[in-house]
This record gives sequence, structure tokens and C-alpha cells, in this order.
Amino acid sequence: MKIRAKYTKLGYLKYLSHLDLVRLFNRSFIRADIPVRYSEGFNPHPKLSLGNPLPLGIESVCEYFDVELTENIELNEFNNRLNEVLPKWIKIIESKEIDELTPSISSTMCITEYEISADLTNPEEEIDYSCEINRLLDFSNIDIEKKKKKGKNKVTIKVNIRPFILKLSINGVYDGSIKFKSIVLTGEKGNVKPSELLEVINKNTKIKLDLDSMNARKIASYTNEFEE
Amino acid sequence: MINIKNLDKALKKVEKPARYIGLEENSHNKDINHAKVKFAFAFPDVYEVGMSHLGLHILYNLINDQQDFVCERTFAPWFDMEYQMRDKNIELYTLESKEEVRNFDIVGFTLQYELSYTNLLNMLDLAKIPILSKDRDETFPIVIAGGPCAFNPEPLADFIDLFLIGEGEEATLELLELYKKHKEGDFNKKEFLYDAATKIEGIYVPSFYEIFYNKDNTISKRVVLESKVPEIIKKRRVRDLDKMYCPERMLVPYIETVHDRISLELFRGCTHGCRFCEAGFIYRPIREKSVDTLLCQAEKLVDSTGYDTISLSSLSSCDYTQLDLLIHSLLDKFEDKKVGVSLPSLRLDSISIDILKEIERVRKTSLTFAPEAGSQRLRDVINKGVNESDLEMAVSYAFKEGYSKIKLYFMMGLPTETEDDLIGIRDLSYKVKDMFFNRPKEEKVGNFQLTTSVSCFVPKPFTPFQWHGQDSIEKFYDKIDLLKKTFKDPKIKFNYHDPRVSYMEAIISRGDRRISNLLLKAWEYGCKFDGWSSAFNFDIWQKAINDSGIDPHFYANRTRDFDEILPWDFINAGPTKKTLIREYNKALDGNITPDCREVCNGCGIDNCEMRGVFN
Ligand code: SF4
Repeated sequence: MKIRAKYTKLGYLKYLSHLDLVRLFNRSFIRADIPVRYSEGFNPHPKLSLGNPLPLGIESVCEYFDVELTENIELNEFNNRLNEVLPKWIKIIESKEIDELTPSISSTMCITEYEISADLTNPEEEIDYSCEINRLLDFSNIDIEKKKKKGKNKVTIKVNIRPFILKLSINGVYDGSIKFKSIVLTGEKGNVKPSELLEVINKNTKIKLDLDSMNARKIASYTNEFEE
Repeated sequence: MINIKNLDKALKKVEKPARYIGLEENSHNKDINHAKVKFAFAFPDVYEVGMSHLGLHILYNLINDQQDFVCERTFAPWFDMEYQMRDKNIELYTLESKEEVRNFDIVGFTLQYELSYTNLLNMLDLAKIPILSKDRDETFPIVIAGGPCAFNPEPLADFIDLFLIGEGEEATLELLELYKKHKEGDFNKKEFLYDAATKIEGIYVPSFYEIFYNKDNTISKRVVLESKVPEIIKKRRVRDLDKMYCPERMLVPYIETVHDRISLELFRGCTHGCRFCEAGFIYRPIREKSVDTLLCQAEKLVDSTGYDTISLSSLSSCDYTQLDLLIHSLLDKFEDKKVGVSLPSLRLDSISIDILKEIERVRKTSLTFAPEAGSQRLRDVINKGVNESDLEMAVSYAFKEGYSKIKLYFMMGLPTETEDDLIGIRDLSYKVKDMFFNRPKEEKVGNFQLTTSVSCFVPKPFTPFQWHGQDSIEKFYDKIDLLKKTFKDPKIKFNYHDPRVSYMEAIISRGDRRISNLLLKAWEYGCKFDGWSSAFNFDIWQKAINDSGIDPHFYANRTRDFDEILPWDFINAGPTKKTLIREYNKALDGNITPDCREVCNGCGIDNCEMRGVFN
């Protein structure tokens, strides 16, 4: 039996890396007595796969993993048993049975919706925030510099991320901080991180943000067809 | 509590933020404001290193299981995090409550290696706690220290209020109880320290003693300044390990640590009597846990952690009397959970090999052997009870089982060492290589790789070599050159330790109170993480040595007389000085001393538990 589970990654545990999560789930399977299928070979490890890694420091309420089991198990029981041993910031929200034909997580979930907030460094300035954002979205080119590994060296390349931003809007301004909502591509075809969004806002609009104060949360994942 | 928003900003800028967040499985969430005594357990190295230390898990659970006490952890922040903390005014905090360490009642450092001492000073500074004991009044926490290096507490005498010598389980609780009583009244630091020093065995308070020196820098006398304070401090040892507290839970780090597994402590002590090994002398005698106790503890630990490996961690785990039974029982018990067993150290004998076969039922482990010296003569000098045929047998078994990567560990600079002994290191390595290639073609599986590592011998207190002068740095480099020239085979990798690091270790480990000043200077000049080769900076250390006015050769390279008062002589670690002298003389004559599990060698431990058990 193969299961796809949706889980949260909240609080300080947003600082766990991809590998940390894999290890956490593997330990949790043992503790929760989940009959996980192991790979063959000298060093057997559970057949578990996670989606594309979430950037470090970003919360999420919609992460996914796939796992293979040797026996069938009620989905409810699967969720409950795991949730009993998982830390409270990482909890299974729901799970469903999938089969061999189900496409992998990383190949399907390549559109992401984020909630992002940051402190304004110029809160006293009178700015029409929505207007500024719309002006930014009118650009046909928004270039950022990305570091890429080329052989042994790291090189900086310019990437136009405008086509990868499907939506960007203001979600509220209060107490010197501003909240955005954004839908961006996060996959092979294009990839935008919340920190990059703030960077381009800082660079190209009158809105000035304290980038270090960023808080971001992934609130939805969509497939290519824009459906969850 | 520290400013959480600032912490979040800092965490976004550092390389491994999960080092600094806590919240691991089995960490406690007690309310520190309701605790009568707040204890901060401080490990003077990074999180991954500290979390791999079994003592932390024991003390953490032991203290938190008491209703009135709370124990939280703090580690040395890595360079990037320290920069962020200083930049954003974040004081050193504990992982659990994100509370400033300064607000705790007691800060307890564990001393696992001398080269972490500058980190200890840096952590006090990051906690905004005055570094010198005499500068701290009642508004600051009591700073205490324990662990193996506390057996020579003197180099840290200026910084630490109170040392706990020996095994800490019982004494720590006694100390916290005493603190609780004092806190209920009008707390006075000196009165508390006095009560601790006079009422609890194994407690050493440096400020109650004064040291006088001769013209030649040796110690002329130690004077006890307060009445009833003991002249000799006797180390604590737990007598019955089955009855001793053993945690049913272990903290489970999210990030990869040096030791990601369950540590199952089979016994304490080791009586092989290797003459260079401090642990072998200070943790005597052997006290075993029963198989029943261990199986029960293992089950609880597997359930509460989800780890897939149980590491049998004791000084020389293969010595456990019922090892076979234990391993079989463990493997059977956890077979369906795919939980394996690993042995961190293997001895070169047939018992170890048989056990290895058992363990292989589940998982392969890498193979490391430590002959320590290149010739039989020198192995006899250090009382390392292995011979060449032991090694041959072990290695040939390893090859037969499909291992092709072997590591060999040696030391240079051992007492009486000659060029022949050094060449012996090369000969033994080549022999291992030849053994691999001289086997029938079809058996030569894998890519052969041998790594021979040579470290520089550091004489340690409480060992028979405590009087021995360490080789000079130049001499070590000469020996390294000699060895380098003899290793010419691409299949053998020759590694060596930095002699300058071992030199600093030698100065500190046999240091007296005057070394405090050196440590302070080194820290002021920026030394930290000296145990990390990427961070160790000998030039700064040398400047600190010059400016503190100590004579480094006096501490590192000088061979002492037997009648000299050594800085740590006032501590009774178990074996008597007479025993150590006897062992040193036997070493120089190349005579071995058998393991005392067969016959008691009369090392002088009072009420030795072993005499009833083994002989
Ligand atoms: S007293 Fe005897 S049996 Fe006990 S540790 Fe010493 S030599 Fe061994």
C-alpha cells in the first residue's frame, strides 16, 4: 500500500532541513509501529519520498510525503498513530491512498501559495501600497541574480522571474508591518522564493522592507492545473 | 526570556539554525518559573558534539525527573551564530525556555577535553556572567564543572566556583538539594560553597585553598584556608549500576549529530590498565549492569526515540561478561523493527570477532583497530595487551567478510620509543596491505584502502605516565617526516595529528592554577573551538603563552620527579600514587601488568566492587 500524507511544518521547526525531516519521519514510523517497506541491500532504508524541499525558515501547512507500507492500514489509524509520536509543530492533516501511477509529489505540486509578512523600514511614508505592487506586476521583466553551481565554481546568473509570479497582492498593513499573498511557480519550470519576492519589491517599488524580519508561510500547493 | 524576534532574525542568517532551537523529542517543557532550582547544563562545544555525549542525557533526565528542579541545555554557538548574537544583543540562552543563562541558579559545565576551555570562557562572556569566580556575587549563577577533565581542576580554578569530581548522578542531586535549602533562606554564595565542600563528598571549591610555589616553579605546598574543608577530595563513584538512575528517554536531535543512536551503557570502568589511558585509571573499578536491566532499558529507549541503532557504549564494551547473551537477546528482540546493534570500539581478539559476526546479521559497520604502538616491545611498555597475531587474525577475518577499508590508530612519542618502533608502524601497515593482496584472486573483493593515523602522545594526570615529558613539537615533526618517507604506497593513507594541538593539550591537562591566566589571555585574543582544526590558531596561543609569562616547557616537556607535588595530587581518583609509580617503573622495564579481572593487582581502591565479583 502506498500513502500520500499532507502535513504541517510550523514554529521553530521551519528550520529543519529536508534531511532532518526524512530522519524524523523514519524514527516516527518505528515509534508508531507503522509497517513501512524497506529497500533491499546492505543498508535498508524506508521507502519514503518527500516533495521539493521548502526553503529553510519558511512555515507550511501543506507539505507532502509518500510512503510505502508492507500491510494495509486504515488511513485514520495511520494519521493518528503518527500524530501521537510527531512533535506538535509537524502533524499529519490528511492522507490518501495512491498507486503506482500517481505522479510524484515534486512533479505535480509545482505552484505554491505563500503568505509573507515583513517590517516596513519606512512606515511613516504615505504610499499607495496596492498601486506599487500593481506597478511592479506591470513590468515584463523582473530580473534577480541567482547563484548557480557550475562545476566546482559558483556563478551568478540573471533570471527574469516575472513569468513565474502568478499572483501578488497586499493582504494588510498594520503596526509597521505589511502582509502579502502570492502564488508562484516552485518547480523545474521556474522557482521563486519568498525572500526573492521581497527583494524585488524592495528594489523596484517605494515599499521598503526589512528583509531580515520576513515571515513566510506556505498555505497551499497546486498542481499544474491550478487545482489542489 | 530573550527577544524572540531577534532570535528569529539571527536564525535566518546562520548555517545550521536547527542547532539553536531545541524542541526535540523528549525535551522537557516544565515551567522554569515554578522550579525551586534552575540548572543550566552547559556543553562547551557545538550542539552536535554535545548531544552525542551520554552524560548529558543522563543528567538532563535525572534532574528533570525531580519535581523541584529543572535542567535546560545550552551549547557553544558556532562562529556565525556568535556573531549574530553579539550583533543583536542576544545573551547565551537555554534551548528549552529560551531563557538567559544568567537567570539560572547554577550553570554546570561538562569538561570532556581541555581544548574546550576557551569555549567555556566565551560562553560565560556571552551569558554576560563575569568570567572570574571572584567577580561573581550572589546576583550571578553559581558556576560548576564536572566530567573527566575535572580530575585536574586546577587550570580552571580561577573561573569555576565548585567542581564535582567523579560520577555525577548522586552528587548532583545532593548539591541541588543543598542549593534549594540555601535559597529558602538568605542566600550567601560563600556559605553555600562552604556547606557543599564540607558536606558533600567529591566537591572541590578552589577558593578554599591556597597554593605556594618553589623558586623552580614546582608546588611547595597547598594550604586549606577554611576549617573542616577536606584536604583530599575523593572522587564519587556509583556503586550499584543496576540501582542507579538510568533514563528511559533520550533527547532525539533533529539534526544529524556525531552519534545518532541509542547509547546503552553496559558498565563503567575498565581494567586493561593501558598506561596512557586516563579513563582506565579514573573510572575504576568495573561495575556492570545486568542483562535484564539492559534489555529493559533498551526497550524503553527504542520506544521513546525511534532510533534504529543501539550502540553498546562503554570503555571497552567487548569486556562485558555476558556480551554474547546480551547481543543475541537485543538482536532477537528488535529484529522486526530493523533495529541493529553497533560496537564503537573493537578489541583485537577472537571474542570481538565472533561478536562482529553476530552483529553483521543486521548491519555492517566500519572497521577500526588501535594497536597504538608499532612494536611488541612498545606495546608492552604501554601495557596494551595485544600482539601481532591478534591483529592478523582480526584483519584476515575482516577481509574474508568483505571489508576492504581498514583504519589503524597509533601514537608517537610514547615513553622509551625508538626509531625501530616508528618503523614498526609502517611495517604493520604494509603487512595488513600484503594480507589483502596475498589472498586468492576471487576473495579480493572491494577496493582496498588502509588509513594509518598517528597521534602525538599527551601524558595525562592519574596515569603512570603523568610524570613523563612530552616530545617537543620539533621532535614530533621529525618523527612525522621519518614516517612520511616510509609510507610510499598509494593504497595506504598516512594521517597524523597536529603536534601543536597536542602540545597545547599537554600544557593544559597537567597545568596548575597559573594556567588560568593563559586560558584567559588566549580567550581574550580570540581563541575558541580549539579542538576544531579549522579554528585552532597556534600563533594566537603562542602570543598568549608569551604574554601570560608561563613557561610552556615546564608543563609540557619536563619529566617530573616522583617526589614532586603534582597540581592534582589532592584528588583521590582511586588508584594510589604508589600504584602509578610501580606501573611507570614496570613500563620502563617493558613489563606488563595483567587485567585485574583475573587477580587483584592491589591498585589501592577502597572497597573495590570487583574484588567480590571477578576475584
Ligand atoms: S582494587 Fe584490585 S580489583 Fe579493584 S580495580 Fe584495583 S587492582 Fe582491580
